[in-house]
Amino acid sequence: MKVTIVDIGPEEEEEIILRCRSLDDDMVKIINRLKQGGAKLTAYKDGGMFFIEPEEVFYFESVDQKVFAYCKSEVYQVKSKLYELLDELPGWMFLRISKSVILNLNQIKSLTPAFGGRYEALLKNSEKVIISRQYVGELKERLGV
Amino acid sequence: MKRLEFMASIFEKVTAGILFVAAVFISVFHGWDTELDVNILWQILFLSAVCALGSIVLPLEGEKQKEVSRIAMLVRTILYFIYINLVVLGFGFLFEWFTFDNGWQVFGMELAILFVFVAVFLIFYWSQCLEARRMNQKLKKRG
Repeated sequence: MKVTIVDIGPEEEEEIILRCRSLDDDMVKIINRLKQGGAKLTAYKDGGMFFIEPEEVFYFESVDQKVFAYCKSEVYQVKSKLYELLDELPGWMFLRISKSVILNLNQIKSLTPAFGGRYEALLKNSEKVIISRQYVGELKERLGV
Repeated sequence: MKRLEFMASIFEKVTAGILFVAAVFISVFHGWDTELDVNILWQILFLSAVCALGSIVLPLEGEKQKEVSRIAMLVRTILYFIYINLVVLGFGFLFEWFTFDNGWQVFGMELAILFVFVAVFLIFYWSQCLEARRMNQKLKKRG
């Protein structure tokens, strides 16, 4: 891919233009990364404040009005609500899979059917989460099935 | 629209299932040489349609309604099974497929209902396994 940087005057507004034949997955990733501005998530644990990369989070779960970010082995609390996180997080990476869980699709190892049209996702850290029947259609759409 | 598609899918599976168990049931209880009225074909189609209508108690994939828990899903499945039993035994009796006086025939009907119910359930599970396999392939490509 050719990258062109153009010098502009101090009075001109900075701008990024992407020229592409089609908006493929890689292009969408770049756009999301730009929109996100490489922002890290602010998370809390044991009274301390941490900045974590969204891709490090396996899933977010809302429990008793609190939202937790589950990483490979650590669990942090985040102040945002689940619906706010859906707006903040890169859409191609995260998907709501139940009323209380947002899952990082990149951390799924495999999927197996579960009772009642649901699916069980085995994550790369060996944890298992259930994908509700209501969200299966969106998952299939996202994966292009 | 999705609901209609789901019902149509149930209808075709139940029709095939009933046709199969009816063939077995008639052969066992009425013999190979039995001659049947064409009405039985319409009765089977009608019964399958009524069975498919009952699937309204089952939640649809992607339906943005209240989330259905595992227990709630189990309860709905049991309710659907009870509905199927009532419908098949009720209409089966009306269509004179069997009589309640003959215990073996009632047992045969129950066995037939269970067979079709489990067969349809397994077909849906199998199709879910195929979908899971397709999604896993996509996940692998994703890295």
